[in-house]
Amino acid sequence: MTTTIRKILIANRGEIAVRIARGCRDAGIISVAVYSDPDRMAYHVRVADEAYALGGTTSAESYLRQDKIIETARKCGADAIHPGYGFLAENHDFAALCRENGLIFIGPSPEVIALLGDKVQARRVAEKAGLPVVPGSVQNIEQVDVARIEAYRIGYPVLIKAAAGGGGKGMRIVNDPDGLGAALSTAASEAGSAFGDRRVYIEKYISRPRHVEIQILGDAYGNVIHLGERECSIQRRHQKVIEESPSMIVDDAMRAKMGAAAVELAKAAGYVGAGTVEFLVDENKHFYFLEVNTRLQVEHPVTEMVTGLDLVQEQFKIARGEKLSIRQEDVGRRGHAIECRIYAEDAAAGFIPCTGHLSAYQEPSGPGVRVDSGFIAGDDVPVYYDPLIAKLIVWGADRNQAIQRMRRALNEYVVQGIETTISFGRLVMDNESFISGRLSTHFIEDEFADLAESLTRSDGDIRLAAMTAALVDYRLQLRLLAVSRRAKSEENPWKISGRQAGLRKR
Amino acid sequence: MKKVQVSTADRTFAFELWFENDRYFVRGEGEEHVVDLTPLKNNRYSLIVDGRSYETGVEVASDGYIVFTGARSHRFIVEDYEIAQMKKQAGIDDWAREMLLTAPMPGLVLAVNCRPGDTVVKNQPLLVMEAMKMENDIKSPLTGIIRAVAVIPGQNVDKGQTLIEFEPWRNPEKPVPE
Repeated sequence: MTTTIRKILIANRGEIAVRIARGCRDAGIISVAVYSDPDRMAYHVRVADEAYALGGTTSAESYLRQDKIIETARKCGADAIHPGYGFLAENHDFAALCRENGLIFIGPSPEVIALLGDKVQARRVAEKAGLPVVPGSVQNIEQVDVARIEAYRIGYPVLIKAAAGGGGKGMRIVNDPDGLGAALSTAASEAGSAFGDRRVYIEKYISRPRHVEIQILGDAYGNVIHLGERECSIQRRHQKVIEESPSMIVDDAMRAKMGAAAVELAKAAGYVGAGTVEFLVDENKHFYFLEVNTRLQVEHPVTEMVTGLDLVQEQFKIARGEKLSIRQEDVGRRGHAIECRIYAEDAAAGFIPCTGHLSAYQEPSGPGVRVDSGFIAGDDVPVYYDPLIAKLIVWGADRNQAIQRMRRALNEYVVQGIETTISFGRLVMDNESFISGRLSTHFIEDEFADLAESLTRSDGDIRLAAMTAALVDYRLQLRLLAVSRRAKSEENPWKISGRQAGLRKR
Repeated sequence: MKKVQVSTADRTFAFELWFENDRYFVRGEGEEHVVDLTPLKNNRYSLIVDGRSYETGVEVASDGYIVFTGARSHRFIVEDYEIAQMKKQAGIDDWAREMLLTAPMPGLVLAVNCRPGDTVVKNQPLLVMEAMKMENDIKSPLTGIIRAVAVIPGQNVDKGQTLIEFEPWRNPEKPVPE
């Protein structure tokens, strides 16, 4: 049984809201943006067909206001809500609220989101479906004594993780029994403030793992396929910054094995929609189930580039109740894709957010280059939300060509006014370990002992920059001189002063 | 012909400049270049240096210039060379007042892990700030001695607000002497 979707409300902002609005246009669906007060002029509001104010400033006052979003969707006559990623994307209460209000939630059912969103439960499902999991405790651990026994059983180092977690929040590595108590309480408090859920669990910490994930698609008729892997090992604060597909360590046999495992898990959970099964891969290429993300991923474009599929269109099809149009054997792979996330962050200062005004902004283009962006020149990057400005995705016939294109595109990218991760991307594209594919989630610490120093060294010619400052200053002096000479003949000091002030502003 | 000194917090350059036949000439650091400098929109400039084409952003700050080389920014003070020499002899250092750690983003100060008088090393975490729901370690930009801590835990700060002042020290890359 299929249904028609005529209008979709996009409950998100930034680049993903723009991406979904474009997807709606491609499908002839009317797109509806919602926005907070600071986002009135945001790009996602301007590209959508309709836009309605949510009011408020912070996420909690705006994009997380389930009541306002549902009310807006009902008033404007939307058939469906696309949550994007982040915000309400993995909130099962919101998915349930959509259903109660006769709106299609573009994503899995509330039950599946609840099941897989809880890491402890998701682990149980994965184990039952026969997936390898990292040794550890799936119980919620509250007492230090219990944690100590568990850590002793599985062996140090151990990882404490938030049951409701994601994005590295509420996660702590513990190397010895002495650090356990403090780590347990900080992880629980961080989890509490980030997710409103203090539950944590403990598992074996795998040193130098790779992060490899499998994209899946499932329809309402029990058909599930996978679209291969993405390697997302380059992370800061346990959050991805550079992703690629295929992974250098995944060959056809391993892809088939990991893909089959992901499909098994999705079938066991009754998964409907686009999703991602994340794995850790150890140095012996053994993979372990990590978690399921029940939504579109930030890095979904690398899969789109190598498979030629449009994942947002696939989400629409599944949401309309259509059967998957492709079978596993029809999924092709061609070439290599890399994504660099362009964050408003100062990599030299430990990737701290660096928001502000984009005084100049120009995206790269040309062969094999795609930019999914939420900003244009003159925009402000607000402090209230995620500092992701854009995603730069390149495609090449092979990995070398993709790296070359990424170098070229990063050099073409102009962002003036704030620090971004563009400089970090350049550094990585020239890094020997990256080029030869030696990656782990510790890549940044391993390769750049002093990242600020590496960035300074790689950042072109400081001498040329100094010379440019001297030249611009000299040009200004010459112009001031010319004006004052001309003005002297007119003998009007007020005019001179006025002109000089005017020139300085230029 | 004009001779200028261009300095960052830890490096100093000297250039001689002159303008002839619509071209800028620059001599310094053992090289001489012919430059076509043409302004674009938004404080950006097209430079053709001896035939090599560059595009750079240069914004005027209160006390110097901010040059955007690609994706990173550098602050420079440009001044008359002779004046710079006299200042040096007089012990005046324009960069001394730059010995500050300012808030990289608006947020809440959660913890302060240093005190006035402490000798700290570059990249040592000095404060913890909460912003965008993340706890961020704010690290020392230099090796030096802390003169004052301008914030207390629980305080909300704006972007650019001074967090920590350091004792003036000319070269932040070098350790402070005993």
